[in-house]
Amino acid sequence: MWDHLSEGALLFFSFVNFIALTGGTFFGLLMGAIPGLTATLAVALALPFTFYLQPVTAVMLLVGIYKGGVYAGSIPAILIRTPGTPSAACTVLDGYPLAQQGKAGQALFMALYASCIADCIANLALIFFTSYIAALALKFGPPEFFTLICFSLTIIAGVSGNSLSKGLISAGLGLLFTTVGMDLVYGSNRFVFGQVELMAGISFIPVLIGLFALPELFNALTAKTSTAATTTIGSTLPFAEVKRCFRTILRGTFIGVILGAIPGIGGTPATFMSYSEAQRASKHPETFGKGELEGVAAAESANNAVCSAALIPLLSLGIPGDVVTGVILGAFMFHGLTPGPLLFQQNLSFVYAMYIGIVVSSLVLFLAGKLSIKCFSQVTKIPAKLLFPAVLVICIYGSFAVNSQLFDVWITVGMGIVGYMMNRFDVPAPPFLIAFVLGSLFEDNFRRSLVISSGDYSIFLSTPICWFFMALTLLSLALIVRRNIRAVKKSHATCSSLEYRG
Amino acid sequence: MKKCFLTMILTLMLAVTGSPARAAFPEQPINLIVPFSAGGSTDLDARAFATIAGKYIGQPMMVANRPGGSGIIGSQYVVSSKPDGYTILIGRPGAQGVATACFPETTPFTLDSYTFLGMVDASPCVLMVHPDAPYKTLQEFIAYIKANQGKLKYSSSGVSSIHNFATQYMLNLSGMKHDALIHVPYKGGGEALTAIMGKQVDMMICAYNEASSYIKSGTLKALVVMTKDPFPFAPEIPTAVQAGMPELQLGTWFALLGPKDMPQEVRDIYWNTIQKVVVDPDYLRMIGEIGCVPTLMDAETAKEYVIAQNAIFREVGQAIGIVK
Repeated sequence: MWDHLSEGALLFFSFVNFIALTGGTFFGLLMGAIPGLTATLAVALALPFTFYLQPVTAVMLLVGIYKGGVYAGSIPAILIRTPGTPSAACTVLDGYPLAQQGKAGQALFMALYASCIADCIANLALIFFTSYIAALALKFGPPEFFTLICFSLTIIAGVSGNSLSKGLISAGLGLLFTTVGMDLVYGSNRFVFGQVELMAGISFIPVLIGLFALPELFNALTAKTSTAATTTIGSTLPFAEVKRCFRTILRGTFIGVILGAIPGIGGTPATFMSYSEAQRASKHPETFGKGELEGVAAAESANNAVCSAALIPLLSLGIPGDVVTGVILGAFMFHGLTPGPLLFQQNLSFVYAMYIGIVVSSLVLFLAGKLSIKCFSQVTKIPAKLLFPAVLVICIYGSFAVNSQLFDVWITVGMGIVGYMMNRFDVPAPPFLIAFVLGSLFEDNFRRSLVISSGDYSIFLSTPICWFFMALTLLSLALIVRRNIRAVKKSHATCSSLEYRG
Repeated sequence: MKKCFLTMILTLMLAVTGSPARAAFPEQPINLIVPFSAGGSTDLDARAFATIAGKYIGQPMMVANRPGGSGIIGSQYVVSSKPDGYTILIGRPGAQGVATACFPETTPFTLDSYTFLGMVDASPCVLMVHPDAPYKTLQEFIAYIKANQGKLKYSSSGVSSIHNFATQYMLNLSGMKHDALIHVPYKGGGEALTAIMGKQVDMMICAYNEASSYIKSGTLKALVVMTKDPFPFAPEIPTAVQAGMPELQLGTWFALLGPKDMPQEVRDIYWNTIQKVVVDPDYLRMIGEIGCVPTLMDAETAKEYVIAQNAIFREVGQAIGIVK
């Protein structure tokens, strides 16, 4: 082992690898910070260049881009309420309110610290527990998936704000939107209205931009007083705040590592689950969604933990955990490396070189992120009359860039109007988003399970994992019901005491 | 100062209008449309092709992903583009095969909507099972299915995917009905293969390039490769002939297509380029690693081949009752 380790160290410690890693991280930061240009696209763009690089250098370049891109999604999420990448959607919930309160600096630094701490821990999980986590991930078949998604949907109650019923209306709308497109089991078209573009369903990023960024711009248009984009970046983050959020970051990392290692879930559900768990564990859950640093920490720790965790099934089984690792798999194969058990037998020194590189990449991410915060925080100094038009252009461009089709721009505009109306009637947007992310996973795995069991519903209680998530679902439903009954009683009590006094 | 300004304006005007009326194709970068998302098997192949083809055609070739609708959206985009040669498509047996052959009423184009430029690569289908499975050969597996009709499951990336059609073709050839196996559709080839590893399903038929890494590492086992002659990248896998089912020959292909009515000189330039790319050592190394075989066919032969394959899909579709 020590032979391979020293060989791996020799392989990694070269100038070119550092250049690739740092260059990749900066490129990823830039791409991730522009809404619509995702980490996936950045990695795919860089793929052809890796043909002519050494395998270690190639992987370092791609890992740098991936991590930089996922982190940088939080920057526009906090500053302009437009997530740069899908998995930064959850960061908006508390990041943007913080920026409005003039604490953009604190939010940005919290995002960076949470991302880097989570990244370090997830790296260790990748290095030491790969085979265990991968074995667990393989146990997730359709029924296990379905019960996990059921549990995730209970998050809706946490992000519904004051009114659970309004939250459920919002979530129902989100679920309805996921049914558009070709259905999985029969291949029939639903709500397509003869539009070829709708056959693939409604894309996530146009919806995301429409739902969050556009209503904010409409509000700015209609506001009588000029909302001068809260021109202060605010103070930097006191260390005590990081310490306070440390438990949240750890929890987020754990959730990110487990969900990231299960192929096909991706970063976005992990961030929402981490967020809702942070809220549940918090002593003052009512501050979430109104500018709570813990909310930013929860979301950002989860999405960066997913980065390293998505490499777990890739390295140990050869299964890419998400789309980005799918592209990285391609890079491996172009170099004649076959991820999976064989890699550990034949190319152990390469594996060690990669491990060292991944550990170093956390440090690079930290330094690059710190530098980028300095640059991007200049955004807050731009006057609103210049900033908002620019943001509108970026939003429209971003929604076009995902699939390069104009149709998506109309989706964004349409969703912007829906989002604005929801805002006016005080219907919260986050439940819509969660339902939209999870809806197709929910439906597909439900139907797939029933195909497998030939229509027997007992399949949803067939394994210990199913039992576990079913129990969690019931427990959190019970908690929601209890909390609401209490809230109702409390309001009754205050009402009647007022009457008494009156 | 004034003079300087004037020259600047003049140069700008020259730059705009200066290009000769009929310059040789290509005088600007070419868009290669991939109708699937980045990172998939089509995308990898296209990126390898575009990198090398740019060298020979004299302009960079850029891959643009337009995913969605099982490849229909990107394919339709190319059909509605100008046939000037600057927008071309990687044609695949899903969109240009199964969709045009079996679902003409929901597919906005036919094979005649395209100009065929040539066939570039191909990858044969393989039948994948879990390495712990009790059956070791295709014949044993068929016997096992017959003994357990309606119990075993196969995965695919959707109803109209080649994975589904290839499996039905196999059932048809071995004299079984379409419901002898249960079809469990997934969202993509990768997820469908993972389902075999997690033992949620028993088998899947996919292209060799989709499964090559699993075959090489031994996480999955291939019972048959659907070719006549031994497959050069994996000669140890029995061929259809060796496995005792010689008609079971199916493969996936990568063809270069353009919109209808492309000028003859542009077609010739593409044909010359394709011929050079498929013998380029860098290209061979790259696509060899991802499990594709260079398969050169000129435009007419490629079209005939696709039509012949589509006839099989149509027959299978009728047998399982999803094609009227």
